Amino acid sequence: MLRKFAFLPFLLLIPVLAAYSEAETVQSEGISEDTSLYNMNIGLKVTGTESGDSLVNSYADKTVFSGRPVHLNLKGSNFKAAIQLTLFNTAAGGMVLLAQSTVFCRGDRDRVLSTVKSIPVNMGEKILFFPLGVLSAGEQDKYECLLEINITDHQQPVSARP
Amino acid sequence: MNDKTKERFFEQVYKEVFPVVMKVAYHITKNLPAAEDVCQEAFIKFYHRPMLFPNMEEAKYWLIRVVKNLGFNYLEHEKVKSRAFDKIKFEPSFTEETGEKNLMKQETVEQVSRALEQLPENLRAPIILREYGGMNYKEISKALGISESNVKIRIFRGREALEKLLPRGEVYVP
Amino acid sequence: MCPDLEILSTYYDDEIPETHRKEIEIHVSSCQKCQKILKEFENISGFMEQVPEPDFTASAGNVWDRISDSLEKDDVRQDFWHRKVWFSFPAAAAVAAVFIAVFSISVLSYYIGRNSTSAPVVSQELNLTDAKDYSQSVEQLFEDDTLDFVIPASDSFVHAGEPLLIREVDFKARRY
Repeated sequence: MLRKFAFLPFLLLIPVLAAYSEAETVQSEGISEDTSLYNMNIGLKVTGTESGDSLVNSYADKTVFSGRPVHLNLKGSNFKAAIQLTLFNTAAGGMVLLAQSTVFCRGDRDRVLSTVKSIPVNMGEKILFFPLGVLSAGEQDKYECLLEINITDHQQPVSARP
Repeated sequence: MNDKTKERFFEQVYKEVFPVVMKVAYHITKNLPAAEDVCQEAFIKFYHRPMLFPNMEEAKYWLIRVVKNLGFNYLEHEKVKSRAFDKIKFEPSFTEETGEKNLMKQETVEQVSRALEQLPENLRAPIILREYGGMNYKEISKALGISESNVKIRIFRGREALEKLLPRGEVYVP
Repeated sequence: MCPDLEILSTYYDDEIPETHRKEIEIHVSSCQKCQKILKEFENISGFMEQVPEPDFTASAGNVWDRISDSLEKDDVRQDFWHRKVWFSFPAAAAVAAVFIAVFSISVLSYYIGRNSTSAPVVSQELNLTDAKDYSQSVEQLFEDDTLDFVIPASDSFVHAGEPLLIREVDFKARRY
């Protein structure tokens, strides 16, 4: 029991350091007022952390305007997540993806976590969003939930996944 | 748990299980380097499990399941990379025979491969485990995490689908 | 009476329980239709067997070597991580303070976002500004329909910490 708690601050370090470096990159770029049309391909993948068993593997294409959020609701039996994904153009001509999520999780403690994360993106570059965080290696019999996000030109959406 | 015990068990499992998972990986990915990568990744995951399996059998079923998933993941990524699914990756260096007999053989083999590739994953996996893994229904059900009756149904449906896709009226001559 | 095709398939695989196997065997021995079907199953197995396989003996050695290389690298990394955690408590405290700060800003910006109507979030952390207004006709093209994903019943989800937003290439590099 005690050992479990000792590791907790350690686990928190990893996402914080990652988040900090992502936030810093964005601060240096201004957001442009130009709005454009994109295709956002969103894939939800729920896989067993060890076996790799695929529980859910579904994709959706959304035509989006930069600056307009795409809303997603994920519902599992012990958690709910409300996620908003928004694309922005930057003054430098690039793009930024904003992922806002509110996650309600039942467990030994009922928890609510609300965060905003951002990352610079390029067309055709696959971005991963883990709304429940990333499980440490070797977690047994657990499922990992992740969103795969791919931004493309709205005229040529990514071809249908198998 | 002792490191030495872990290592010894790992070596035992590798020796016993590598041949079957390699075979399965190859028949799913149709690519030798990819099959090797898949097996490597599976065994590394196995090594990092915090607890040992109760016995060799359980370890084997688990490894087969992971290899099957990794193999199909590889295929999915390959499909996305090359949008049109045209040529089947074959390594002709394995057929040593030459001449007409070889040509006929190549044609049938390509037809089989194409037919298998058209099967959805849930029908393809059981029949691959049966025909290439030499596993019985019970073993397949444990490896795939599905009921034995499901295994039975899927193998039958797989055969039905293949039969429609394969050349008719040609009897296999050994 | 001919058995179901599925039963024939099971019989072909030698998976029929002994009690019924004899019956089917007797029937098959004198039924041309069933024999033809069994022959077709044999065809399929035969064709599958014809697919050439490379020799895997070299692979066994190659893969073993690559596994031991990879495991050796990991051990070094593990030692490295342990050192970081157990010997730098002051650093850990500082980072924890940053985490709390980041978290509160995030929560704050969430609430700001919630109250605005259509525009995205103003975030102090990120220096973003509201996008400009769109004309109504354009707005009508894109409804705010929500994508609902339901994940099959499973209580195997665990809240592992803050969400992670990362490029796939960077994530894969992290793992190995």
